[in-house]
Amino acid sequence: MIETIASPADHHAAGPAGWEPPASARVIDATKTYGSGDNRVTALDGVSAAFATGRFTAIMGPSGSGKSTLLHCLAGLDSLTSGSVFIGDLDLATLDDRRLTEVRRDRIGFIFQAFNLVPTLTAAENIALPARLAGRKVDAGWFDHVVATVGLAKRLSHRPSELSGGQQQRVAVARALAARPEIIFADEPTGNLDSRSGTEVLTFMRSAVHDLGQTIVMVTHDPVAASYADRAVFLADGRIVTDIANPTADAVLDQIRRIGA
Amino acid sequence: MFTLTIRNLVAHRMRLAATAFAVVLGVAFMAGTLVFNDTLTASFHSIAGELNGEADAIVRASQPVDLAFGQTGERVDASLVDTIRTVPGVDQVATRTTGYAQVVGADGELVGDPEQAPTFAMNWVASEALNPYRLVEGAPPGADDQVVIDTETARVAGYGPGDEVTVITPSGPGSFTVSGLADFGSTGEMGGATAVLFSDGAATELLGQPGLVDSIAVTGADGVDQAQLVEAIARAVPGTVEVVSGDQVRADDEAHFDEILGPFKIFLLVFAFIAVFVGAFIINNTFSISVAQRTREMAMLRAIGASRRQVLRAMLTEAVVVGVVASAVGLMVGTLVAFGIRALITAVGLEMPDHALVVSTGAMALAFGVGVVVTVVSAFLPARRAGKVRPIAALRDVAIERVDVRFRRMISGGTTTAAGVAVLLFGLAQKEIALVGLGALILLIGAAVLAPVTARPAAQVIGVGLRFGGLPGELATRNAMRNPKRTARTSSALMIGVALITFITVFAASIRTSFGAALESDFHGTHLIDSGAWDGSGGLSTELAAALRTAPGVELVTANRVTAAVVDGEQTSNLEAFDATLPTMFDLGSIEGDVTALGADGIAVSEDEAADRGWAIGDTVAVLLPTGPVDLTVRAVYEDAKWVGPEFVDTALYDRYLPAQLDYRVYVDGDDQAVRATADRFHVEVLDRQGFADAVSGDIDQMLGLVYGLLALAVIIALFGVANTIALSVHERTRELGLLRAVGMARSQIRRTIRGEAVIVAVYGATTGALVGIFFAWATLRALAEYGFDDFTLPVAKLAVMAVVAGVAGAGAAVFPARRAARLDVLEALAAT
Repeated sequence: MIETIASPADHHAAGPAGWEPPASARVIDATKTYGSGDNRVTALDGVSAAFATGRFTAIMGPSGSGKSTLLHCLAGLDSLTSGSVFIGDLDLATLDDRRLTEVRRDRIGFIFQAFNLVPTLTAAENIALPARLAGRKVDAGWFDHVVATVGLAKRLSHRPSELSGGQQQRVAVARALAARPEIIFADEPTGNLDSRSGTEVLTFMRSAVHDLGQTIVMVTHDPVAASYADRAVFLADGRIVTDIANPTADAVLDQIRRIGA
Repeated sequence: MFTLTIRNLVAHRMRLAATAFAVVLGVAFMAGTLVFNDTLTASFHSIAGELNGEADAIVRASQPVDLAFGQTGERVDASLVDTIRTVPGVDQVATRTTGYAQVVGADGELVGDPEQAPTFAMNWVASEALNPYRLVEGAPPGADDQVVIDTETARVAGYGPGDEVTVITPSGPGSFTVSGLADFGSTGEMGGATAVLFSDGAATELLGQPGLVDSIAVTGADGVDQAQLVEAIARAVPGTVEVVSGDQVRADDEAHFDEILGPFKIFLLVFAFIAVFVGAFIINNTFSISVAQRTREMAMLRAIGASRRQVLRAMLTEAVVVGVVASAVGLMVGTLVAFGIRALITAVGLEMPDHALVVSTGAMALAFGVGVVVTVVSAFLPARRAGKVRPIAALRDVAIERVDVRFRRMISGGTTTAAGVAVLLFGLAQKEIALVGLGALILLIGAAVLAPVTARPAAQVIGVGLRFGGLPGELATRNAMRNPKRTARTSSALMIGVALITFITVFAASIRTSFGAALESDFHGTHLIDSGAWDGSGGLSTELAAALRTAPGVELVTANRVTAAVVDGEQTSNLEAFDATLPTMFDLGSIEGDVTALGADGIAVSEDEAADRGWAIGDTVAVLLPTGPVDLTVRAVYEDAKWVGPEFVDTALYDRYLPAQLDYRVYVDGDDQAVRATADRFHVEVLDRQGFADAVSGDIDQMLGLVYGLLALAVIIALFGVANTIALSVHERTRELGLLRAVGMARSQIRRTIRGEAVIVAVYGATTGALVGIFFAWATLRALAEYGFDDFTLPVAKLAVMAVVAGVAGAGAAVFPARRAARLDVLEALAAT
């Protein structure tokens, strides 16, 4: 099933030469199990996938399908039981905690469902956080461009507690973009938002991909959110079951019904 | 609800362990101090019980003045012994002649130090029942040139039976043969005191007067009780002597020891109080944070129908359980602390008698009660806040402690601080040291109340130093500013300890400077010979001063004596006497009248003393000497009291009224070689001007060492408080730490952030503490200005070192919380609530 439904990029992920379009992140035969003996749970069961540069990919699936685990392993927050994860050409399994932290800081951006921001820092400081952690100056032109794109210019000196939920998520998006990472991972970025704020945030994410050339991988269970993506990958029981290009909300819903989630 | 409380206690073991630790340390220090004090009392009482052997009655001259051990009053006629022997019911009778003697060791050094413990001399009492000493080797002194010395002195001096030994007595040095060694009482424990025991004849010749003895000790025959015996003897002897029962004498001696030890025991208890006080801050802080972190849980309980009182009760129950368990542990640790206090006191060079630890139920109950009460009282306000949590709070997202610093706090804190300063200054004006102390306490509390107001700006300022470290330093600063109340409460505990340490440091430095300056300007001599026997219980042979006066190369000799007396109704252990050379040797400031013409019936008083008591030249002052009352005329009023005390008399007065004549100190102006040559003949140590200053410095250092040691525990408790607060803050910010790790904060940066916050808290506490301590020292010095301690000195280098140490200690306190924060699993941290 995996072999037949996997995306074209998948076949070339393991290959030596760059194929079009190139992948910012790849997993190869990724397996993740928790516990042992009778309590053994398999979260990922031999998943292989590649995430193309400059594309917006949605990972979908019912609860327990392994979609969050896949994202965490891709992002270097968790490690695989077997298989490999590559960010660009870098095999994450070969890195110690310090190098892995640097990869997260310099090459990866994050957007979480909630609690994305450090409460003691202003919006501007939160956006600049990864750069500051690396001891780098933020590129002022790029910073202004990102802030303008996300529409936060007037809120820069506010603390997270002074921002609405939607504004907070936009700051999170801006933070992810500001560092110009190779890839951004978003974990249910609109899960805590009302539909209007959610639409706003998703629109920004899509424009980041299409206008700024950013690569984004997003986990969601919301068909509407997935419809903003260029591609939707479906997981069930730790395996990739379907891969849809240019998904619409209806197509996604259809697929969900078919999986039985 | 009780089940819930217990479940909670078990679930939050770590947090409770930290709270409990503050209670354990406080109670342990309290219990340890009480045990130490009881042990000290018991050991001296056991000495008191054996000072007079098994005497049932003591016949002695009436004693109008409380005398220190070794001091002598009027003596009684030795022939009374024969009269007493004929009294029915009398069994054994022995005369006692006591005084002062020191053995010169094989190395030429004097054994024993009268400044620390008495250096007894006595006649060897033949009656075993009446002899406080017990022969352990050799024989009693069989001739006037033989002595028995105590085994400890023999060990230190390096002598044994048959050895030739030089003994210094009031009559000067003499040569003796050691006939035997003896131990005091049943245990041989004398608390550092030494003993030389002479034949009756030698004792009378060297220590007393011919035909007279200090007292006569009597045992009653079987079946005669002490009251009957006392009554029978009193009928037989003249009315000028008093007959006291053995039990009464022992009780008096116990009371006398209690009086001497009292201030020292209170001194130790003050530090135990400080430790408990600091602990209270920690307990209060921990419970406050705990309540804040559990707001949701409380609200949930309220939402499902728990009443305010039930929530309050649950929190208080938690406090009681913590208080009881921790206090119980504290009692056990307390025994170790008692050993620790003893070790500390020995380490700074004070002698203590050995005695098995006395662990009394009363002391244990007191320490336990204080522990439980302090815990519950400290937890009460946070518990009430828990009860006030509204059910709606269960639905709110974050449960972080309220951080607003109210205007009301500025008012109440400002008022309390101002009141403290006012009381302190009023105390200074009135010269009431108790008021100064009260003002200091109020000021400390005011500063603690105000601390949250200044915490935020202070953290910002201190944080500037950390900014060089980049983002971690900045985040640390923000975190410290985030909840000023928490930062303030944590640092206040440290503030108290540091304030006291700063106070004592500045105070000591100022006294050192003052003394150095005074020595420079007021003392015109070159040398000091100091017996150390400040209470007159020993001293220097008057032959020494006489020899110095005639020695070539010696210009001027001022001998100084001291005795216990009651001056105008007030007991003093040291009424000093000088000879007419005094104003040449010392600058006493402006003098009204003539201090060189006091005579045997005059007294000189200081300006302050004269003003306080309303005395003027020509007035009569009633003075009670150990030998009886005398009326003295005020003949001079002098300005500067620091060398001579608030009043002094002429040596002529002592010559006329007091029996044993010993000099306490001898001040000399003369050639170094000449002075030392003479002093060597008397085996006494000579201090030149530098040595004099060093000796005073040494005494100050000894006091500093003791106080630092005792305050260290308060500081340790406060540092545990810092560690505890930081650990709880880390716990509270788990998710935030997970986020920081996720977006690329390195473990080392996390650690630096956490440690930075602790450094800010510690430096804030240390800085406010230092400021308060400096103010205390300044105020105290103002109060003591009349005694000449007026050179306020800031030991800047020492204070700077303390600030650095505080910062490092703060960072050290955060090592474990920082490590835990750095090791957090990113995903688990992100999922934390």
